[in-house]
Amino acid sequence: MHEFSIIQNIFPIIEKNAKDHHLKIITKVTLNLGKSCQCLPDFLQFAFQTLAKNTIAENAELVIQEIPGKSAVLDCIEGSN
Amino acid sequence: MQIKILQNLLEANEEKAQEVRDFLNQKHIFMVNLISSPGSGKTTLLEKTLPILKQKFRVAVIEGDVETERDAKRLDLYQVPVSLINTKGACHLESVSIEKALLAFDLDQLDLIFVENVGNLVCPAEFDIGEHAKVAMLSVPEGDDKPLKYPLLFQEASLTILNKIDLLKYTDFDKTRFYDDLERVNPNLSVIELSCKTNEGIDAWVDWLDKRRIASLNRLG
Ligand SMILES: Nc1nc2c(ncn2[C@@H]2O[C@H](COP(=O)(O)OP(=O)(O)O)[C@@H](O)[C@H]2O)c(=O)[nH]1
Ligand SMILES: [Mg+2]
Repeated sequence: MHEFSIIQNIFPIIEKNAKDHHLKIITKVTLNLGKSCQCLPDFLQFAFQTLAKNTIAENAELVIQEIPGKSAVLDCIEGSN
Repeated sequence: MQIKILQNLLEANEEKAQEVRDFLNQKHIFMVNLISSPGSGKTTLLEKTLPILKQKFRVAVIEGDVETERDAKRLDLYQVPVSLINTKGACHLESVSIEKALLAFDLDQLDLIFVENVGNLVCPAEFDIGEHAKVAMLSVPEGDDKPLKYPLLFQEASLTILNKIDLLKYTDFDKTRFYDDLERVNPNLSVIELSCKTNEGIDAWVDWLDKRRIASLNRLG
């Protein structure tokens, strides 16, 4: 149910890092998702597509990797300038 | 170009939760986060125990409710401070909301705070709200399979209350299976069997709170 709030937290971090590294377009966002985080990958994808509109990550692909534990970690972003 | 970030997306909540806990520790307040499905009996348990606890402690309640103020109203009768958080649809409470709710209390005049979390076995288990103990409540009519189906809550909890044991005879709730499953999920979890109808187990619950509170205060030195 809180897939949206998790995804919401991603965008300010993406914006900041993109700016620091002079990236204009983000092509890929990788998320490490704890096995017991109880978030549905499909919902995260949907939340990402919805919330990415009009951001620098609008056309980025969201890749979700499963990790142990219950955390949700923004692993890395890829993009170009 | 790839940029490694490795930032925990739940960190903001966890940091705030620790702030809340530190603050409560300064004030020597013990906070309990009560989690269950809707209808398991959280508000009823508070109604049963507030009159008893009030004789010993200065108690307050934070009520997490998706929409209404019904539960807060029910507790008004017991003349303890109640702070209501309407989550407006959100499925759990977060530590920022607790920080705000605490503003309604005079924290120098309190020993014990209960938080009735939003009725939900899934999301509240993931969010530290600055409590000293999570208490998972399950009621008999919900079935004995819940610990296996919602393991995280039972792993995070310090205590499980099995409520509505007055209904055991009318259901196919299998206690052996329930305890076997709990053992698999979290072997260290204590369980109190309770009924808000017959008052069985209420003493054990009050006793548990008392002991946990003292243990938590002693840890602070
Ligand atoms: N038979 C029985 N009913 C109970 C018990 N505890 C609570 N209830 C009933 O369960 C219903 C839901 O209780 P409530 O406290 O509102 O649940 P909450 O949503 O978890 O706060 C109410 O009708 C209560 O009277 C119990 O121990 N035995
Ligand atoms: Mg209630």
